[in-house]
Amino acid sequence: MTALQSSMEALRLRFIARAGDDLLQLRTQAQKGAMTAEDLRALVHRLAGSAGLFGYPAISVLASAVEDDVIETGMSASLPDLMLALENVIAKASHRPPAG
Amino acid sequence: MSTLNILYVDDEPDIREVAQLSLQLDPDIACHVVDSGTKAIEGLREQQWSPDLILLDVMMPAMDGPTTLATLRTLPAHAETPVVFMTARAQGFEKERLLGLGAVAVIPKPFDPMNLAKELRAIYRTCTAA
Repeated sequence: MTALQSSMEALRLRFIARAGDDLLQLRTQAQKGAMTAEDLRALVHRLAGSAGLFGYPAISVLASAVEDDVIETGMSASLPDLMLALENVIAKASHRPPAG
Repeated sequence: MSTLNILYVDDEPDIREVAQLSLQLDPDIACHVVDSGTKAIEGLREQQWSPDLILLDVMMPAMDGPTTLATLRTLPAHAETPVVFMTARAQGFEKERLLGLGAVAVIPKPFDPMNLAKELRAIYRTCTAA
């Protein structure tokens, strides 16, 4: 494994760890609408940019779609799909054997 | 190969780290990294940084990429420094809009970490040869 690959793996694990917090925020948003449109946009924008980088293109695409909706209407019907995709990634990561 | 000095501006720590690692694959790239447009402008204005190329995230809090570009164009030393935007929203219309602001290229996020340095070198070659 090259130095870049090894650093990317460490960052991927950090992304997964943070995905749990992101999911919690999105769930709260879906249930109570607690976030401002701008905060929601910032969160999904970050996901759109970083998920693809760490090997989760589906999350990146869904997050971009949510971002587009939020820009246009302040909300998104695709939010449950994004939450489901995050749940799946977190679930798979928790069953993945450690590298090496 | 001559050293290419890049100023890279991005508020997202993970992406910043990956981009830095990617640029380190080219030993002849010197990269200065800051986490906001405000810090970039301060460095360019007060510390007289002189990058060959500026790599600029689009969506950042406080001062976003387009505002950073407009501000640095008011600095005589950077009126023509090539700026490359990096964005997760690089679809047709948005890309055209960003190029219309004066960027020389738009790199979509997620970018390819193995090729970012090569891509920036190629962009720099093209815009300095013109």
